[in-house]
Amino acid sequence: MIDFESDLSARLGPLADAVDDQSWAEVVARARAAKRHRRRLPIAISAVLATAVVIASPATGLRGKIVRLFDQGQPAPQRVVTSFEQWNDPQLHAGVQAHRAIKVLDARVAPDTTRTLWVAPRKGGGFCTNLGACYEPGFRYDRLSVEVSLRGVAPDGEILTGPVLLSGETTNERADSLLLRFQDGERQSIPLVWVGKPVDTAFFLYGVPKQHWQAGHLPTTLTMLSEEGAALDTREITGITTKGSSRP
Amino acid sequence: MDGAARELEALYETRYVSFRNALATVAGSRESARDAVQEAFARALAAPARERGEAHLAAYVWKIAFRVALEQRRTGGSPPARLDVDPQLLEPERDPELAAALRALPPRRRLIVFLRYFGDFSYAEIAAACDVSEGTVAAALAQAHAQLRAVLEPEGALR
Repeated sequence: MIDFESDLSARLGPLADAVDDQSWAEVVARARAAKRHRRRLPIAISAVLATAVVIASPATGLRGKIVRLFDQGQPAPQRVVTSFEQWNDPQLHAGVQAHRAIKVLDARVAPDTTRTLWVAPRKGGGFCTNLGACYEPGFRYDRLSVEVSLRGVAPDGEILTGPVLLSGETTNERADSLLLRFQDGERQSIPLVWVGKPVDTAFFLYGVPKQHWQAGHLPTTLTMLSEEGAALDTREITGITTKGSSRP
Repeated sequence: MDGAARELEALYETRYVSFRNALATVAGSRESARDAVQEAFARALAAPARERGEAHLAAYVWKIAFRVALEQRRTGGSPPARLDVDPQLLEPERDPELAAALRALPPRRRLIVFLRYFGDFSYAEIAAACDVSEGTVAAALAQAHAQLRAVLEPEGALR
């Protein structure tokens, strides 16, 4: 993979703009102006990947899409509302309607740990999740988006405490459920939770069980299935480190 | 100028171009990216030292620049129907195959690729910039590499 990284770097390199138009004097001038009109600095940008660590695993092997009607969703408690309100920091202007946040799903990430996914609409369309992402009005992604998050990894790559989490979303209305395959031949069905308008997106959270953190038992692919069982998209699951694997 | 300010200036001198290039994938143009990077360093310079006291100064400045770029997009009337963060190559026509392969990555993973290859961010800096663990960064990059490799190296050679 190192060779590929070098090749990729070599291929991306020429696409980078080499022009050096820096000006520290301009920075200093701007800073002086900023001091005259100082505002509170932005909170940490959890934004893009942020709390993507909060993923989880349904305890059951349910098959089939779960539909949440937004207006009938379980309202978020104040601590979650407060968290969403951070998106309305003057630096971001996300326009999150934090008070309208609802629960999408609870998922188990460890035998005694459950995490919850929340979603809140934005003024003018779009929505934000407590995983740290905001989406514009009319957001569409009909393939399956999958993120892998690791915690508690030893220097040699062994995952000590986890959790190992898979999360993602799709706007493919034919999507009904997910099928996760492992190296040892085991399979696990993962439910999709579809949240209706104004969100109109299906989500999942899954905590990979500890027995599947070892070489020979790792997740391999995640397939998005229609109600009829047709494969709509398949994503390879990579990046889960194991003992002895080289960690950058 | 205090020590922290000198450290910031040193960061600026060595990393300005890479910051601008990485941010251009989010901001949509070199000019917007330049403005955001300039503004970010200015805000960092204007901030009290205690607010700059993060372990990764590069990540701290990047967070500000990123927010400024998002602000610019919002006030500039960005097109709808796109992820809030949808980074992409500025000139995809220069390498359409690579551009298409990158476009197939989920936006968040694509951003990490750009931080790594355009921004010259270390894994630790990316982790700090995105508020995730280094393990998550490693996983995201490994996934991105595998996905890109499958498209770009179907028979073994990247080109």
